[in-house]
Amino acid sequence: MDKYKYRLCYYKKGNIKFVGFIDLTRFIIRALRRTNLPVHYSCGFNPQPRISFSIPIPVGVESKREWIEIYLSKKISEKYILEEWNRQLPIELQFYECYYVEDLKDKLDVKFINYELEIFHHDIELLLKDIGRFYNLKSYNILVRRGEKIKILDLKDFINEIEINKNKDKILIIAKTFYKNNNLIRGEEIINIFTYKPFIKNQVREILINV
Amino acid sequence: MDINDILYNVKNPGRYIGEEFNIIKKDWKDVKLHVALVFPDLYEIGMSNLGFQIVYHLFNRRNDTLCERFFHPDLDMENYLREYNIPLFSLESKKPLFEFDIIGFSLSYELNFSGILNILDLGKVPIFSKERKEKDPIIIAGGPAVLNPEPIVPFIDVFFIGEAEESIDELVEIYLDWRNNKESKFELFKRWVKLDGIYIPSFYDEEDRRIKPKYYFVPEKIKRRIVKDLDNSYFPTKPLVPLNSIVHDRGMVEIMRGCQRNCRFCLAGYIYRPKRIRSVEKIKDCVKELFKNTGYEEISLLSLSSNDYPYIEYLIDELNKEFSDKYLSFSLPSLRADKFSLELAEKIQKVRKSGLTFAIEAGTERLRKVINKGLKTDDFLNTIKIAYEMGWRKIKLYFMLGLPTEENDDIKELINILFRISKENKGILLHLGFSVFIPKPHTPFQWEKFCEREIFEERKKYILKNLKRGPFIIDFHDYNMSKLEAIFSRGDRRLSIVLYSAWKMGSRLEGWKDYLNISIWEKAFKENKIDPQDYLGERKLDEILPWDHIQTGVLKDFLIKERERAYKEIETPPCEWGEYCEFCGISHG
Repeated sequence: MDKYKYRLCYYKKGNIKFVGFIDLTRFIIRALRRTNLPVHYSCGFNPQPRISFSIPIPVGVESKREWIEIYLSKKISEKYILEEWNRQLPIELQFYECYYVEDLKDKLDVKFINYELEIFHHDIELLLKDIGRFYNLKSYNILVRRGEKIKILDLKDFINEIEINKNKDKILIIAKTFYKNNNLIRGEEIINIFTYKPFIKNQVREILINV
Repeated sequence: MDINDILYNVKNPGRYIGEEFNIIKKDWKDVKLHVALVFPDLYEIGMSNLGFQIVYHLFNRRNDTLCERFFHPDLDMENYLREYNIPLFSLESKKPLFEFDIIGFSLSYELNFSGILNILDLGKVPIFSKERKEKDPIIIAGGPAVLNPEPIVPFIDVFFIGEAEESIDELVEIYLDWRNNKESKFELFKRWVKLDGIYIPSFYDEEDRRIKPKYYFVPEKIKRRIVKDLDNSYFPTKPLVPLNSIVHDRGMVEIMRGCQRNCRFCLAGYIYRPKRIRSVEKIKDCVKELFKNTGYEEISLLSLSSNDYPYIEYLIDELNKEFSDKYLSFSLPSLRADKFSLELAEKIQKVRKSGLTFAIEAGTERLRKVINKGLKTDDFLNTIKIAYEMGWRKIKLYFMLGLPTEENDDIKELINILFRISKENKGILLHLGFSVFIPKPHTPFQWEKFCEREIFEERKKYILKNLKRGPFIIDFHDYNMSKLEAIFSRGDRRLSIVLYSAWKMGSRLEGWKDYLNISIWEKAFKENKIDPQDYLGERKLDEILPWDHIQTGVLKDFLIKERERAYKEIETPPCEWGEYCEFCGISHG
């Protein structure tokens, strides 16, 4: 059967951030099943819609951009796909870009994860000093938990840029991080570079891919 | 700290956000009546309950009414709500419970009773009816667990006994008219009590264990409300689709209500009589709408006994024909362990293949005659054999321990049969679930005793020892949990004070093994000088029972006759209106 690949991105904000990733994927797939889109299904005992999600998003984290790939059995306009799917989704979770991917072998290649961490902190100067110090270091190892395992990661390998942005009454840590060899740094792990760790009020991420 | 901050710190915060697909959010100013619908258990249980969803939509389909949901918060959430003095809020508008006009509790299970007290308290509503003022919300309770309402009488203003589909509009109309007249709650209750199915405890006195009306306008017996025409009754085809996973995460269509089988232990078999069916055409329409509105991958065709739906094969063929290209699968609960069930299971699993489950209930044919399960050992063995030949390797079997007349020999025989199955079907894996028989009100076994702990433990030990080697996975239901359920199932008004004490001492969510703290309950019984054994022993046939004023429609004489037959090991054939009738008292016309 013919299949056509589409790559879409969506945002997730508000209360939807409190839904776990697996639950979220099921919710998005059910929304897709409610549309009239000709979804391509896998074969076998337990046929599933052909859909794949980019890196799992933790509970409590908002996102400006997450990626999904789907296969359809007919070629359809990107605009129609967006309209149909969005109609079945709450305003806190909507797709806003859709691309037809001609080469079926072309895989989602995540390059960067950007973070916006809204924080509580009384001393911005101190944070800036820590950032300066971080830039001058050769390495900055931290312990992270990945499932059942504890790993050592060098933050210098992952943090490309980091800055503090004071926006009205909000203080934001803006960080651009690399996604490397299936490894990533989580938002809350970035604050390890600070002597006095700020309290994170809200976390927003954005996934950027190689195109 | 606000709700948003708390959500970062609790388990499964998605349970509290209220963003389900098909959620109904109305402006409070646009409606006249605000109803809080409460399920006093965790979200994942409450959201799986079909009755709860039906009532939610029955209220909300009215333009003048809104209905918002409340569930029992998990303990971490409760601690935060108490610490920061935040009243329990609805999922839809996040309004506190005390601001609603009517609070309706959906009660399916006796071990949810402490949840009523906890939710009222968290919602800043006085717990006892007598403490509530005219301005306070009216508390209504319904659902299968209120067929014996007495243990929770002091907390509830109005009980609704029976099926809600045709009654909610009547209740609301009377309420709205009453409110226009600015009369007292007493006047409202006086009008409501004229409807069938309404039990208002404040209109009754307890004299010598008998519940008697205080006023001339109050009925002596409360008749269960029964929907006559199920086919044309309301069914929600736009149910809430949860974001968080729940226990039964699938669509549901009720294909049949009531059961004709006369299983003597089964509460549902007596309180949902008579058997009524939904037509194939209506079911097809429901499935079509459900799929369109939910996107579910699976739809469960609900009934108490799938085999007994008269057009079941035709129905499955029709559904397969229409929906297989949508990758929609169907499931049938409550399959009997016979060959016909296997044919149905084969048919139904055209899209996805799942497991096979049979409730055998008792190990021997003799005991199955006592409980009227109507299943011959040879038939059941043959069914397993055919299932094995058809390719099923994992089969789940459910049993009850502590059934009336059960002896050690019944257990021995069961072990023999299980080994015979494993020998005859090499490579089979049997998942065995054992629960404890609970005597339920309104059934022929309402006078029976609850199994003593020593006997249960002895039989459990024997089973575990003898099934140690073999292809068996064995689960036992928690004895303490069943015991508490047994106490409250046949409880009276005196238990309300035990319930209150246990709740005060911190008992919560008793239906969850990890949360049940039986020592609190032991202390509560002791402090109130009530012996739990009073509720667990055998009852005399001429004894006044706490639920005698509640009429399901099934005659007490019929229950007595059925009990006699049980002891004589005589089976009662399935009822078939127009063909075979045991005259239980229920009207079919």
